[in-house]
Amino acid sequence: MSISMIFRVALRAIWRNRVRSLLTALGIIVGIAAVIAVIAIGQGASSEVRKSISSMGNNLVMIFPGSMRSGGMHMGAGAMTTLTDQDGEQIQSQLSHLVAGVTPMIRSNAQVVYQENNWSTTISGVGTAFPLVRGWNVGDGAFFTDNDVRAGNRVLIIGQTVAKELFGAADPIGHSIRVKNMPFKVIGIMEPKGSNAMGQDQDDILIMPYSTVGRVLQRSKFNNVNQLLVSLNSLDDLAIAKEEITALLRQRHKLGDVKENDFTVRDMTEIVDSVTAVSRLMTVLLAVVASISLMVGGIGIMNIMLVSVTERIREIGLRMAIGARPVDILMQFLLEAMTLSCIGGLIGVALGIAGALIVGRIQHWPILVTHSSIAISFGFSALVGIVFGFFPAFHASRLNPIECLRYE
Amino acid sequence: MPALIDIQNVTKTYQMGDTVVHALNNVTLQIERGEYVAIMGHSGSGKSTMLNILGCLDTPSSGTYRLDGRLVNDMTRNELALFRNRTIGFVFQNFNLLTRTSARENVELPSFYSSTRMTGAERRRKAIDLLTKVGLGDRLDHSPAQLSGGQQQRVAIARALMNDPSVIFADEPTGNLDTKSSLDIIHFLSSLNAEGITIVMVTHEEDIAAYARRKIVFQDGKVIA
Repeated sequence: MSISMIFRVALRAIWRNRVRSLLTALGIIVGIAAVIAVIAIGQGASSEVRKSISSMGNNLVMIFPGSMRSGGMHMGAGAMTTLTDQDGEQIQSQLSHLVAGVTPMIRSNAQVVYQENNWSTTISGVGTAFPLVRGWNVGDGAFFTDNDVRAGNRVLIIGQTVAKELFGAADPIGHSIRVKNMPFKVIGIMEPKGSNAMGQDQDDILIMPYSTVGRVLQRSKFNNVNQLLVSLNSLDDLAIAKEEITALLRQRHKLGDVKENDFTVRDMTEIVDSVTAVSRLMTVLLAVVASISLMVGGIGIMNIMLVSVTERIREIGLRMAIGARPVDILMQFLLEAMTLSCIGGLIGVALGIAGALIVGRIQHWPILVTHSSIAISFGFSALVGIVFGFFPAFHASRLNPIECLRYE
Repeated sequence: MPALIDIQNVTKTYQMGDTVVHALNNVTLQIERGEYVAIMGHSGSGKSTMLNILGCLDTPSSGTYRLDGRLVNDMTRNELALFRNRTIGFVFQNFNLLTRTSARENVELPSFYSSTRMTGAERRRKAIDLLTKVGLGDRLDHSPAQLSGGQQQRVAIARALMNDPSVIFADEPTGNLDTKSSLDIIHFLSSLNAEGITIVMVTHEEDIAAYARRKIVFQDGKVIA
């Protein structure tokens, strides 16, 4: 008997007892629906976390001056002033196969004044690659140019919060604001960025060339920077990129083979790792819950298949008498159990997706239904049908046709 | 040409608790092609056991059974199934049709298990021809519940003919039917026999057995006539 024929017989048998079949499949339906819904919500949440991490910058690697350890004493990163803007330029030019952009970063705070309004804010002195590296573009106006950086021009780009506090509804571009009693020209406004992962308002910022911050605001004779931000072409090259950056900086800083690094290279993998650990834990818990509910569902299927075998014992006897081999009977009941559990799986997937969407809509949670979660749940429901359908099917295939035909 | 059915010194014993029951005791008989045989006997005479063995649903404890030239004794379950499918048509007392399944599909059933592949259209064609032959050409899509007892037994006969068997075994084919339907069925079996089909029928009714051309009477596991 061909598989498609057995399948039709199975579908018909299930359809004849549709209420009973539905109730039998309920265990599978609930199990699969729960798995699909929880995975969809969990994946949505974890993709949201990843998004907020990546909003800190595109494939970001951060370099801080100073080593973690100096003469037996631990120093915080940034404790030394060994990192320069030339280091950044060299990383950009020598490692261009790995690096999309590099910007120095000098941080400062200042009181800024426009007419009768004043506001205390943070200043970031950066290079022209800043919008690329942070994935943050200028909304109105323009970013400063390499010329501005070379000359240390008094130009700045303001964040949305600063614009609102100093200018209200007026257009700030072209106006002059005073920082430490020196006039600076506003040439642009950044796009709104919102809060970062720590809840800090990232729009409360002034951005100007790092050279301007160093030479003009801090009146420094040195060209050291607080930090270099490096944007990689791809996170796949993270390990290689960190190695090459370290090698290049060691060579530039003439550290030889013995001395420790006088800088620290860090990336986002630590945060990503903790997110991954949480989602892995969730997956394990889910697998436990899912396997319990699928097992309960499977036992339900086994039970009803045994009932079905007894109910149709004369049909089994007849089929054997007219030429069905034991394997034909086995396949018939096995396929019926599998079809039943697969239908349960399909309904479960549909209900799970619907449930996740409803929960997401009500709670404003992001929902992400992946193909793999659907495929795996469906595969498992088929497996449950085979595993738990085997015993009743095997039992049916071993029956004696004479006794089956005589059964009352 | 050897006999279609050749039973030599067949014994069948069952263990029932401490006692051994001799359902068949050293039976020898031959049935030729084209015969119409009635097997008779009271209940417990061994006629049902004989039919189970003849129908390859059971194997003898000792002795040999050849059907259509093949030794049945030591066939495996799978071989027996295929052999039954090709060689034997069954007609039962209680019809044994699949419920909620159309007459046509009931008739097609044996062809699903046969090793020679037929297309769906060929199956349908043949099932319709057979149902027309048993006089149910206008009841193709009726389920057993929509048919009378006599009609159901005709569907069963059509099913028995589906794989062109060498022999039809009928177990009390009229046992569940009223007199008119019984005569109907028995006349139909006679006409099939007239076409050359071998029929072996188990019955305990003398007037039904009278239609067969030969009677074999069992008593206490032995052939007595």
